[in-house]
Amino acid sequence: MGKTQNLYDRIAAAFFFGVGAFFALYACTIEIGAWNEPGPGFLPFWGGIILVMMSLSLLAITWKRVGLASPSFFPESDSWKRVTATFVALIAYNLVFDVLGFTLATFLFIGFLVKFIFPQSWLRSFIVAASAALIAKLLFVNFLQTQLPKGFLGL
Amino acid sequence: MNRWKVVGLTAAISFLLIVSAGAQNFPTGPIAYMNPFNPGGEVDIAARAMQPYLEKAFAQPFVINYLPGAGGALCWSKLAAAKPDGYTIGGFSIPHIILQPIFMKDVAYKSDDFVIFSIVEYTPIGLAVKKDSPVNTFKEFVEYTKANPGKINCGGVGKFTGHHFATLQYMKLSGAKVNYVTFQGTSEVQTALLGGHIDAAFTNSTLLVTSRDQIKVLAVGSPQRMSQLKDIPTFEELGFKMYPRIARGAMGPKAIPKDIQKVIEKAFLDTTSQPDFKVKMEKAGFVPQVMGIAESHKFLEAEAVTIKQLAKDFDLK
Amino acid sequence: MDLWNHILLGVQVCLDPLNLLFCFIGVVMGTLVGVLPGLGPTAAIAILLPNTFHVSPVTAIIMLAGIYYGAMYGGSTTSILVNIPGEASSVITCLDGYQMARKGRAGAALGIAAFGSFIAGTIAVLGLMLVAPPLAKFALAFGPPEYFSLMLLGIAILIYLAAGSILKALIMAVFGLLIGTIGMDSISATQRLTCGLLELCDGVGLIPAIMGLFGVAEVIANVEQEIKREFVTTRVRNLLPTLQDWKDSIWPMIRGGFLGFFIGILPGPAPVISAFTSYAIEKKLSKHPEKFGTGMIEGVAGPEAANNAATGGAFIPLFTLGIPSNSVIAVLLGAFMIHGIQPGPMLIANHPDLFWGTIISMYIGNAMLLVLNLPLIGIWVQVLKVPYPILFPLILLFCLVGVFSLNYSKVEVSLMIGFGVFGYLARKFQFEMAPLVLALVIGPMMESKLRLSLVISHGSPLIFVEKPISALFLLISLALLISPMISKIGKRRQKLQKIVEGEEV
Repeated sequence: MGKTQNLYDRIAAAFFFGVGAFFALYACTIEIGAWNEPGPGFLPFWGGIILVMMSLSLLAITWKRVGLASPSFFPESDSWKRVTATFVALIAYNLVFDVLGFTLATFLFIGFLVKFIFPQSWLRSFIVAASAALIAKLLFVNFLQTQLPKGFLGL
Repeated sequence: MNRWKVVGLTAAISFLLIVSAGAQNFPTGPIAYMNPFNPGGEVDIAARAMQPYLEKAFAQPFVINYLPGAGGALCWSKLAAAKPDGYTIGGFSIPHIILQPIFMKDVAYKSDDFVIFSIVEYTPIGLAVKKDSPVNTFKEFVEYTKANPGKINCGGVGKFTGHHFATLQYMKLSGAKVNYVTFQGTSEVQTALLGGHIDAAFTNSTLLVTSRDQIKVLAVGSPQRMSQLKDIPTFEELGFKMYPRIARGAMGPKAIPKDIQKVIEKAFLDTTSQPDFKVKMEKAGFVPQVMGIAESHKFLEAEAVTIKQLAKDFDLK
Repeated sequence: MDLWNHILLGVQVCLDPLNLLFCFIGVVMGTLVGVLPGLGPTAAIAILLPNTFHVSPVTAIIMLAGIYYGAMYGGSTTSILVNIPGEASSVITCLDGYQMARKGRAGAALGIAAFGSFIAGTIAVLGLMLVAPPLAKFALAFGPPEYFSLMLLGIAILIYLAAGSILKALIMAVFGLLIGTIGMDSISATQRLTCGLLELCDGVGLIPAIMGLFGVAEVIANVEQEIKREFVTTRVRNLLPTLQDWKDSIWPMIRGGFLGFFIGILPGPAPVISAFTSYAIEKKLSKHPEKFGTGMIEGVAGPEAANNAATGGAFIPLFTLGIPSNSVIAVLLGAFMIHGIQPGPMLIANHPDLFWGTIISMYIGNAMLLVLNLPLIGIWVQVLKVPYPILFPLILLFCLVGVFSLNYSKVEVSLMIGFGVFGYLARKFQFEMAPLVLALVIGPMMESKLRLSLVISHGSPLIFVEKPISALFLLISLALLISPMISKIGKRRQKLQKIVEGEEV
């Protein structure tokens, strides 16, 4: 694909430049303090500045040396689908599991992932999801007495 | 009797029966107690000591849950918004619940959002100096700090806490200036004091009692001498009218119905008046209290006045 | 001899069937909790605490102590098998342990971890028996300046440990430091970047960060691949370590044990620091330092021994001074008080049965752990054989529940997912995770000790060199940072010389 490590490093350098600048600017709004009496803004400010400088040197290095060719971002053509789907599942779980209740949400979550990421049969997915949800509930709620949300179905 | 009077009487009696039945039916399930700090801390110890008695009084399980964070503010914000049915109550510390709404941002409660069922104990805050300190009595300490303004390092836990305010009170009454050093927990203060890294500390009585032999305890902030520290004078005796302390107990959202409040209050009062409970608490360095709702709120108001005045005096923001 | 009598007393206490039972329960609960990501020993102790009211204090403490070191061991299991550290101290075990598992050597890794923990635990117990009181005094000599210099040394070691590009490791470390500043500053009570969320007041949680960076990110990275490849060689060659493994590991274990014990005495995140100090030492002493990170057994033996020994060392301040070194020990302290035992220097004198009983129980507990866990290795390896399409959702589930159950906070779960995204991208961009995590652990402490020291010294930075222990650490840090540069310069000069002398072009 022709992408080299250099491109990745440049993107990374830009990202960290932004992070460092953000912290340094934010620190200006809270008291920075002096060398021998640092305030709450001291570490964020100087840490941010150092990060900015380091990302600039990273950037500089990418121009000096010849980049090694690196593999394409996603190893397989449909990788991005699996990766995105998994993240979406995680975010969705976090959003709804206190509404749906722990057991139901877990069942749906596991079922979705087993069925759609690396496709398994419907029966297999169902069995795995159901047993996982059940065992998890028994383990965490009943045995370990963790307070997990019950949801509107009382599950 | 007049027919209407009969009806009226029946209605009144039924109403009373229903209301008291409401109170009598409470609690029908477990009571959840929210601990705003970590397990093993003072609130936890007091709660665990009370647990067996409370379970007997309520005839229901008394479950202790932990919700630490932001120095207790997280738990108290949640408690203020909890369902006021009496099944969710929590522990508290005074002066934290007075100071946090004033000085901390984003705190979602006010001190009058709660009904305090009982103040169960308080730990007076006392003054201790390190073992090899040149000072041996409180008077010497006062002179020492006056002679070295800003140089004596005095440790405590956090800013806008009981320890911080004790230090401020001392500075106000003595006219001396000390350097307040903020630590993140009592055990850090303990290590620093025992190791001689700080000169002095205003700290909880529990620490003063347990580390007695490794530090010099100069004074204590209770109204009378503590039984665990019989030979240590109180600030009052030494001419300093200050009673710094951290008081703890149980509270709940204000909107809990009055009759349920009474039931909870009674359970706590029964617990705290048990002699063996008192003995246990004293051994650990606490000063156990038996206070109901009215007394506790009076206490809260009195402390609030002192603290707000101190904050004004020192122009704290 | 007096010591012998004490030991006999301890054995007597310990062999009481009730105490043995509670020791067993503690150890089992501890391992279970350690294996489940997120749930920590504090949670287990809090759950079991009410059950201890009805038994004697000695029995209670034996069980609670068992939970603590059981959890330490359990944490290593997940690190090796699925690259998810059970807690911060197991992060280092992930580095080589997981690589060993990928090569089919999970059994050997788990076995060495078990034996290493046992041997280290024994060293710690011996240390406790023989030298507890004088060592406690040593711990007290550490004030804020000494801690700061120690942390700085830790950062220097961290830089030294960087396997790949030093610049990138440094970037991650500084990033970790910056993330560590989020929260309420304890010294001035200012809110830093908390965005109105009370949950962030105590800072970005370590567990969400670790779960996200190591757990979630790893799973997502694996999910990318086509399923045809085996992610972990399921043909496990040996369930137990071979003789060669033993020969390689024995000295790292012993070194790690002593190191961990001494560092463990200091209040603070001792298991973490001892684990990665041990890793650094083993790397330095090894004949093949460049192989560290690809599955060197020394990289598992040393750190595992170190973090277990640190657990033992952490009991010293508790028993001798009544000072808790970390939050788990603080709970134990609370348990003492609830049972009416006065912690402090008089504890050993007033309650010898408690002290010696607990010590001997630690030895027995460590033995129990070994006996319990070795057969379990076979079972754990079977877990790896579960087809990945079914395994990975379960791993993710454990991460989610684990993080949520810490503080019942959806904010922390979101943080974990966020860290997961970041960790996934970081792998793509060839950045290492370990420096970030270690900086997140050390950073806040370092900052608070720095500022505290300056408050105590009224603004004079000289305090760091005036105090002897602190000065010593600073010197070692400097030496550590300069030495690679010196050797680099030395190599360059040699190369230059060879060119000049016509041996190289």
